[in-house]
Amino acid sequence: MMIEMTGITVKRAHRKTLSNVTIQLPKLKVVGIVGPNGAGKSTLLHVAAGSLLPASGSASMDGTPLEQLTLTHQAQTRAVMSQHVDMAFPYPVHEVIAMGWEPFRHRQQLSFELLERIANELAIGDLLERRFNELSGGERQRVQFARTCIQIEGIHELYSGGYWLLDEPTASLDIGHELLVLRYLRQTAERGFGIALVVHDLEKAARFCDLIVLLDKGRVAATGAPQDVFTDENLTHVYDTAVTTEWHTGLQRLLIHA
Amino acid sequence: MKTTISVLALIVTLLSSAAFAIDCPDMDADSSRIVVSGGSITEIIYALDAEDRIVAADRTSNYPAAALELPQIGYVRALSAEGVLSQSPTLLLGEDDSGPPEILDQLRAAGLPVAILGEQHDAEGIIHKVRCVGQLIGAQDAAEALVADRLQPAANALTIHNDRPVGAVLLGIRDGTLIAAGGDTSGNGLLEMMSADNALASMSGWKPVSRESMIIADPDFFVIPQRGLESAGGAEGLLDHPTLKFTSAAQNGRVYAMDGMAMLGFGPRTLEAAAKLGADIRASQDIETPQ
Amino acid sequence: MNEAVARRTGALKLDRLGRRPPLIFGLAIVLVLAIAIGICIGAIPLSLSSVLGLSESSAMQQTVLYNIRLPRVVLAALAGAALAVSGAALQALFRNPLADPGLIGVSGGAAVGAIFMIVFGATFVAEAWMPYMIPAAAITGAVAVTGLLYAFARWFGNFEVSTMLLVGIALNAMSTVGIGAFEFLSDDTQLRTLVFWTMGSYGRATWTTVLPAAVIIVAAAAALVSRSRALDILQLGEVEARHLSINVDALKRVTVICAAASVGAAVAVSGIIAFVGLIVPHIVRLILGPSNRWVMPGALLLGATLSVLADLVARMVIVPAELPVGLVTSALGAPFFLWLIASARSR
Repeated sequence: MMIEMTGITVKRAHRKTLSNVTIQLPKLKVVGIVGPNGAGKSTLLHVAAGSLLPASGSASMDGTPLEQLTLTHQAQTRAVMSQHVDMAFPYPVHEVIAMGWEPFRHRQQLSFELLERIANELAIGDLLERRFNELSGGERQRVQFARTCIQIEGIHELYSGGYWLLDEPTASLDIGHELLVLRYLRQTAERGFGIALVVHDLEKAARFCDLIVLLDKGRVAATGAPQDVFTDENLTHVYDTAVTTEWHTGLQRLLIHA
Repeated sequence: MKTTISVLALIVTLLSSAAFAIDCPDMDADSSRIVVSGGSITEIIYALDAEDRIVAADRTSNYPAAALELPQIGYVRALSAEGVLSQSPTLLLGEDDSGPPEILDQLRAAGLPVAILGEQHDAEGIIHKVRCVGQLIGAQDAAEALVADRLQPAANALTIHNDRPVGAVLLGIRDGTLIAAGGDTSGNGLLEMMSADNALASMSGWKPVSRESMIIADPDFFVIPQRGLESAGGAEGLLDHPTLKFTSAAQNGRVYAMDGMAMLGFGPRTLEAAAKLGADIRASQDIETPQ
Repeated sequence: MNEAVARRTGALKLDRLGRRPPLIFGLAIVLVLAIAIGICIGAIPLSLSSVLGLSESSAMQQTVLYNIRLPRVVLAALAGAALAVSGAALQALFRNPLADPGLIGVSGGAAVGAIFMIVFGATFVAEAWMPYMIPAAAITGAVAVTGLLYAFARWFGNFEVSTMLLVGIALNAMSTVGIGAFEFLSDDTQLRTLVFWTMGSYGRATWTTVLPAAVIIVAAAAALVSRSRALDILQLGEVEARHLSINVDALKRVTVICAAASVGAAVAVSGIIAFVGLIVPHIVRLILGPSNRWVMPGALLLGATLSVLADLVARMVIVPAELPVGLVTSALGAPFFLWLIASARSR
């Protein structure tokens, strides 16, 4: 059971943003999509999310092509967190989070206890009654993250597992909150979810992802386990700058130096 | 000689009264409390000495000055239905352009007799309007007296000219563009009454005029309402306007102004206004006496 | 931790149950009061007891009540509600608190349709049909403009808010040209109807024109209110809303058409009345919060109320003459609009 993308080519203004990309996003695994700016990371995520139609190639979820799945089914199987976090009107934070339950609203009402529990796990319990527009950039990002967490809970109740795509979910977060989010992703993967996130921080990617997809100018440069993908040669070639990697036995982590 | 003229005048009067070019509403209404929509009708009622029967009037009823004290029911084309009814009227007398139509319908539905008079922009039309108002308010004798004493003589005085000077009637300057009277307007009717030709007769309605059209038309004189002249910056301002600058009228400084309602309202004053303007225009021009 | 959760749970539940249902009920009461005042006060005073049939009234008073006052107040309430709920819907659609039916060209389209019928209709429509054909033409114009808007957006390949706003500005410019051309081509008779139609007034209300408009407005408003929640979700962004199962294209289509139809119907019968669609939703948001489940019904109620009261001012301030109601709403709306812009920029 996975999200599968085969031979994906995406063109924008006669330029190929993605060329013949084939990857799988299996359940129970966290996949990190990394690469330099403009490599096509967000584009790939949008294809997997069903919001971008490739010029050629196919994307399917659990064996069925995305075009054949209804919007409702997709929303009940796959949660997506985009980079866009702002809202034009000052909704209270708890209402914004509750919007994540929309695909399940007709089946069941959102339990407020669930909403509060998620909020507290993500350390935004004291923001619930604030106006969304009054929050800082980092707080807004965490609230949007919480919204997709609610959607994940709904998916879990319905199908016991699903998919979660995130586009730079920790971009505005400080170290503490970043680790909170990444740990939450790991725990969710173990509950039966296939998770893919676009991430810039290579060391965090190495630490929290089971698989890495390294993109370079719209093509897959390498896929596999972090230690296999994050080699000196791969990274130096792709990032066009001298990069060395080092396994830190004390921390049991891959360190990356540029 | 005088007798002959009087007899002729009487025949003309009888002939005019026998042939109404436009319809006068045929109604037998109580005229004790009249609401008037249209300045010319107000003017006529005052001239017939029946002004004590007017209970309310519209914004264009500005003559005589006493009429300004009357309760207001709105602009002739935008009347207020409840406003009219609140004056407990027995009759609404309105000029041709009274409206909007839905308001008149509402008033009729409320049981108010509504008499809308037709409009014809010439001396005969004015005389007919006076007779019609006289008929509707039961003041036929006063109406005939007004016609005989004042209106018919003035109408006759209009027809003595043999020449046809060429002029144009301007409304004023709106948004920087000049608005002038075309062929089927009250302005055109005024020129006709003065035995003058309308340089812009080929145009229809009150329209903005381009500089080229004005140069081709080349009127010898301009007639303009006083208010329009003032807002254009007086005679200097008006004649300096790019659209008018190169016309014969502007070169010779021939601009004639008068109260707007007097000139274009087509009440009794308009006959006199036409006569005065016709005389003024001819007094100041070089007339080539026909051989 | 559990203690803190329990405390917060209690506090939140209190807010959620909310002051909103009582506030909506309050707005409804205010509307009923405004309508009662609007019916009783006028150039010709009508006592409440005679209106309710509890006491005698003259034939004149009865005619005024049934043929003049009542259709007028009903029209004022309907038009106000239509403009306000359309404004709220368009602000949600464009995700911009400054959006307004006039902005995307809807009112302009309605004006062009009506004016076309006024100037050229006599050649192919019998005089008796004109009171129906002008409103029909206005609605056609409004829906046509929004259809054009939709087609342009499709052709450009996206339905982004900025695209629709720019196309709306262009369509408004085209409407201005069209209206100017028709004005030029009209003869004097037609021009009279034109000029005063664009200034907005409820004075021409008759049952024959109000009832068809009412049907359209009620249907369109119901369709918009039923999409309140979807419009809330849309605030996250079009892409994000799709990820939450909202059919965004269908939502946009329905919102645009229903807003156009209800505004077109209102404009057709009463002319152009500015700012209601802008200021009423804003005030409602200040009272009830931004969630459309409350803002849409709130806008209906407050829009109707303010419209009825503005009409009251319009017809009483220089009684027995009347001001165009559009003048009253502009006099209040323009300064409010400036304040809105100022406060939006300072945030």
